[in-house]
Amino acid sequence: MEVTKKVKGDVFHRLYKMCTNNDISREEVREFETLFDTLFHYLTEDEFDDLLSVIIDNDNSYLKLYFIDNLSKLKETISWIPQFLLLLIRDPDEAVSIKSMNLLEHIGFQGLEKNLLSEVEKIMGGRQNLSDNIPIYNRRELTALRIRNKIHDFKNNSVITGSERVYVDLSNMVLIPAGHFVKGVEQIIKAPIVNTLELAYPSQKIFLKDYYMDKYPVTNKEYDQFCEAIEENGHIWCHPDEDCNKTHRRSTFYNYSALPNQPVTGIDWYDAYAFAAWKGKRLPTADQWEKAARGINGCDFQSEENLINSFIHAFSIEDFTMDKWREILLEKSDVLKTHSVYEKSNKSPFGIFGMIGNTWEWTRTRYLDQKNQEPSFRGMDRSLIWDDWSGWTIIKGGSFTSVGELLHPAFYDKRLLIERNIDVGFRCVYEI
Amino acid sequence: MQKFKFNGVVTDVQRDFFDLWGFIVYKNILNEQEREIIIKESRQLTANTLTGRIPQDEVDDLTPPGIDDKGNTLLHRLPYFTKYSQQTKEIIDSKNLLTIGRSLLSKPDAWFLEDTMHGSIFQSKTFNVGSKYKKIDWHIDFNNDHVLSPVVSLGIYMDDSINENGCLQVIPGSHNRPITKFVPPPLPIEVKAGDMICHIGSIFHSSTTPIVNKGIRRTLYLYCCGGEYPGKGLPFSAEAKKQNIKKIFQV
Repeated sequence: MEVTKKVKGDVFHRLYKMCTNNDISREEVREFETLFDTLFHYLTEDEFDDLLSVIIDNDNSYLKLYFIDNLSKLKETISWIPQFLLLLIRDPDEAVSIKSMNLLEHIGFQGLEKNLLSEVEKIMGGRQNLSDNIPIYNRRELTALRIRNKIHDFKNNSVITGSERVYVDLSNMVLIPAGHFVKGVEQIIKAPIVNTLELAYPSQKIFLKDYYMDKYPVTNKEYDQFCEAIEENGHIWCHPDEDCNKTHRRSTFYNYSALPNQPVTGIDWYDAYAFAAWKGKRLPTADQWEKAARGINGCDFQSEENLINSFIHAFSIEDFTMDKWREILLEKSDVLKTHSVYEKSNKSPFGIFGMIGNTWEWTRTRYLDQKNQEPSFRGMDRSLIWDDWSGWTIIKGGSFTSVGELLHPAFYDKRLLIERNIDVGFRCVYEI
Repeated sequence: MQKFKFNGVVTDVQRDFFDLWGFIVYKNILNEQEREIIIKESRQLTANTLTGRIPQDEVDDLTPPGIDDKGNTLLHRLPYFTKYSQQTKEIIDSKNLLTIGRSLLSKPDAWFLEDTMHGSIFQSKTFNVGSKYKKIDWHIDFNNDHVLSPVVSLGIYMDDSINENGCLQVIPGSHNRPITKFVPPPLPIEVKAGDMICHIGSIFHSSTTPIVNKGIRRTLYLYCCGGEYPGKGLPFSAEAKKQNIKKIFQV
């Protein structure tokens, strides 16, 4: 059938309009398919580019699935099909995501291994295929797992950052040997000051492999050195999900109360992640943090009865009442009240300092499902991230703003991973 | 994921969790013996339904009958379950589950749906070739304008519910805001037999796609309603809406 230029223009215009219509009906999709089948031989590469560019943002999965099914016959015309499929792997529709992965595997992904690996790892969310547990995956995760295995060149705790291996300085780190520990609390505290520990009830025995943990939290001085390294080298240690050219400068940089040896605060999760990678380390999981803070038997520094008072003594505050705390907080709320990490402070059974109070500490554990944080927010409007449960990340240890059971090492709170608060810092682990 | 224990009172921590995320999991609500009683009553109600002893307007019309692994006819949904299952009703009363519903909704006068709009439902999903109901598509149970709203659904699991056999998955927090173009990832909620998942009626939820091809997953759903009692014997939905509703039950 010969197609005149005008007819082709009109039909292309109609196709384009359908691709931009988020409310396209099933009947219109069928019409689209018919028109496209007839016309695709006559479309130029630019016209295909236009259609594919808008289809990515369309909500209609049937349309996307149709395109994916027909991509192989467009392979000769469009050079960027693999990149197109890479974008569709992120699609919220499971069928679109799976088909994209399968087709990408089929046509080949040479040169895209790193990006593809990042995408499939986000889908899997750090879930481990443990030999003594039932491997539980949905179809999308199964497909992602297969592709990950095919790529073959990635380990979760690699110290390869950027393009070179980093020597990890263990001198100020403490070995936490492999073994079980008691996570959570065995009883709910009667007459609590702040009723929160139910979140950590009941206790359970958890096994962890050995790892090293920083003896002290990261300081302002250390963190500023990292920022200079970023200025010099670029964002080579940053999480792939981080927004392009994100600034890592801490929000407390111009706050004169934030002295060099105080724990760094005013940093978000991505900042902490990148610093850890710069050092060849990682953020701890919530379990790793808790084991390091409590020892293996759920030791809360002293007996349960003296628990709260022990934490209060860490701040050298005596006869501390809730009213007194409120009074101080209201009076001095504009003053950064952290103290130097090297001041005499609480020490965990493993010999790690300052885990309780001073600042909360970021972990790499997601709050709600307690899996590894695998963010997928790049380029997203900030207001949308607030609505996304998967952005909320566990923080541990309490801070200078905390009171009562908030300071219990079993307790866990949450912050959104893009928040930069003056009461949240971090320390790192190195996994052997 | 944090799973709570119900000790007779819904605590502030539990209520806050539910208000924020739209769901909450309670462990070990029923023991094995109690589950066996309920399952036995489900078989009895199935038999009574198939032999015509249940009025037609109290028989499920959303999913067709399936065939289970043993070749027997299976009714995937048994509405008005507590109306016809006395022992189940006694177990529910003994567990004080109405208190949970009332506390989570902060509605001291909330009531269980029993004799209208399909009442409580015993649901069986199977995964064999003969199944007519394997998974459910994304939906909300009751929007905020519904006469029964607010509603909390109490799903008590007779079998382990895991990703492989199509467990419940929710969009946490979606009850507090409308679904827009951006949809946060789903959160599958895996539980053991005897556990209970309570979710608010306006949360966006579905089941994961099952990858097993045999077995059964049974759940008893109780609906605790904070809205007005609409009257006895009303249909589940208007006829016009029924066709759309049927589409979410998938094979």
